[in-house]
Amino acid sequence: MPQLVIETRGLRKVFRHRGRSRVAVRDLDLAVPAGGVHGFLGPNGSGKTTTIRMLLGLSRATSGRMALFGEEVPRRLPQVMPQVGAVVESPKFSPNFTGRQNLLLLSRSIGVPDSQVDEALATVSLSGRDGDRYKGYSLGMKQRLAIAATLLKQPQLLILDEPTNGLDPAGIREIRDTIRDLAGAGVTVLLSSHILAEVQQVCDSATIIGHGRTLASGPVEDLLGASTAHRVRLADPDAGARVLTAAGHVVRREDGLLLVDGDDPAAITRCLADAGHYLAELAPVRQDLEAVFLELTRGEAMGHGPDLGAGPLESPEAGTGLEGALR
Amino acid sequence: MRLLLVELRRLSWRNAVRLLSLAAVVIPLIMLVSLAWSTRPVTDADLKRAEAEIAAMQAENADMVAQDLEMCTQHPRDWGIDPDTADVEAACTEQMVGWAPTPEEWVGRQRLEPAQHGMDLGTQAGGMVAMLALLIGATYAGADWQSGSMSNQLLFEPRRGRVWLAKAGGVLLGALAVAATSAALLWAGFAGLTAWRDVEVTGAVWRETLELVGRTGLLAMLAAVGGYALTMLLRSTVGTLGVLFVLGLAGSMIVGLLPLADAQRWFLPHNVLAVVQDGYRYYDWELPTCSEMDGETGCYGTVTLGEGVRFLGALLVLTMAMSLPSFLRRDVP
Repeated sequence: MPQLVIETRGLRKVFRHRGRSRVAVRDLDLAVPAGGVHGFLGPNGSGKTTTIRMLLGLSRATSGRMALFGEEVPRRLPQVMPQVGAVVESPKFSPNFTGRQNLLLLSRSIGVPDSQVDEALATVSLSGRDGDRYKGYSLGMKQRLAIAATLLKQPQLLILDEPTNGLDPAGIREIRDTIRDLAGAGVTVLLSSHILAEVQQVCDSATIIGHGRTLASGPVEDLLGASTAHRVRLADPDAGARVLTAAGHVVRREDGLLLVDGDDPAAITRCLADAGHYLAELAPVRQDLEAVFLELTRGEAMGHGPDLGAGPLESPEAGTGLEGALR
Repeated sequence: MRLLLVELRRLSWRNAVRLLSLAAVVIPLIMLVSLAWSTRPVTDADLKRAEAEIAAMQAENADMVAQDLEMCTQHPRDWGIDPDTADVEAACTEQMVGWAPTPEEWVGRQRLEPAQHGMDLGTQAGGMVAMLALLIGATYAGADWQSGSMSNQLLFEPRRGRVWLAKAGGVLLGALAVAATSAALLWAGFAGLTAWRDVEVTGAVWRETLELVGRTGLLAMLAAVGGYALTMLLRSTVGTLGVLFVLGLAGSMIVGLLPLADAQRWFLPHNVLAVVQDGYRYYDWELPTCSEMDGETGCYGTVTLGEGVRFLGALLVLTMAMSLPSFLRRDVP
């Protein structure tokens, strides 16, 4: 079993307001192994930020258990927080202080020398603007300052909640590179993001949640699954479709091409060749994370539960638990 | 200790705190300048101007005075003069023009009296500094909530109790520093003024002044921590100011409606004044001991310094007792 840096069991958060209650996180099981970048995906309001806030002690869990580096939190937060850097939702600093002042206050509160502030500012390319007031920063600069703040601790775990929100393409690439660099340096990164392509590009593993529950979790490759269909181009697609259907394949038409279910390209080739149809193109069709995400969370927006049986994904609720899902 | 130093630094970097601190130093000095101006020595020019103004007034009123004099002579009893008086006209004249003001009275300027003026100045300045200290505590905490930086701070120091206490300590020491600086400058200025005017200030007056400074400094610290604790509870400077506004506006009225034998004893302003002035005496015709028959001597109640400190202390402890557990338990946005 890999060492887990983040683990939750049956985590639940109920918000109560004026006699009404709303379940934001519903018995969430989450397991993030040490090393690499772990994506944390879910539609708006699915409970991602609430989960992160509970892990960091900003919000109290209604029930359930949480652990960081194997230490139960929030009870042991003071012991583990020096190893954890986090940006929750938007960066939050005092607007009238300069970027440098904001970081100095944080670094001094944990006894980090001022020189480390300069290093952190240089790492995120803010050295030239560190004397400007925070309220004058662009959104990208604010995000970079927030990441600089997390670097002050030289963390082993970095939790980033939508870190590329509002950034221009160059800024997004910069943050992605920073994340990859940190992961390369041995820092475990939990990346909460709506940008599925980003998660697919940057993350090694991911957890998808909806309505406060884990829908799927595992290495990104596993989530995407093996190819489950092949795209076939033929001179006579109608005839080819008849042959394949007669041979027991499930065939769909798409823009003059055939989509043939199954993961045995040799069987498709043989079947068509035996009938005198020769392939112009045969290519596996791989799902992207967006398709997986939309399929899993399809019912979420409409208020229905997800179809956990869809696709090659594992569901901790139906399967062997988080450790098994993460393999 | 580390957190306390950080909070002191944060406090000193806040623009609003700097502005309020500056006001706490400058406003008492303006009060001192105002006192110096209103008690400036009467000059020969002032006296000449007064004489001229008195003469002009008398000339303007001469006809009316002559009429009154004539009526008085004819009907002295109406003017409170015994008709059997040997020289009725002289008595009437005395009554008509005898009260004419002297130039000094016409100028009407008080001499600087260190005991009285010092106490008045210290009371007003101390009250002002306490109010500004309250605002310092409130705006200091409110800024953290408004900017959302409180959550960021807790990511670096998750022990909320320590954070709350460090901030309270910062506010307390900040208020002490502001009150001390303000008092030092004010009383140095006052000492300079009395020396310049060649007015003697006795040791007893300075002792009283020192005690007053101590009491107003204590009030400023209580107010600052109270403002801080209330804002940490309400998580909004505006909310704190709203509560204080309602308290100031309706607090005494509400207490007055309660079935208390000595309701004024519990008025917030009376207790504040008791702390500042080393006890406060108030008139209350609803006191059970109040009677016109005995010259209303029983119509006065007193809040002692100790009672005032206990009252304000209890309010502060109550606010802190709500604020700290709330900060420990509630979610931080």
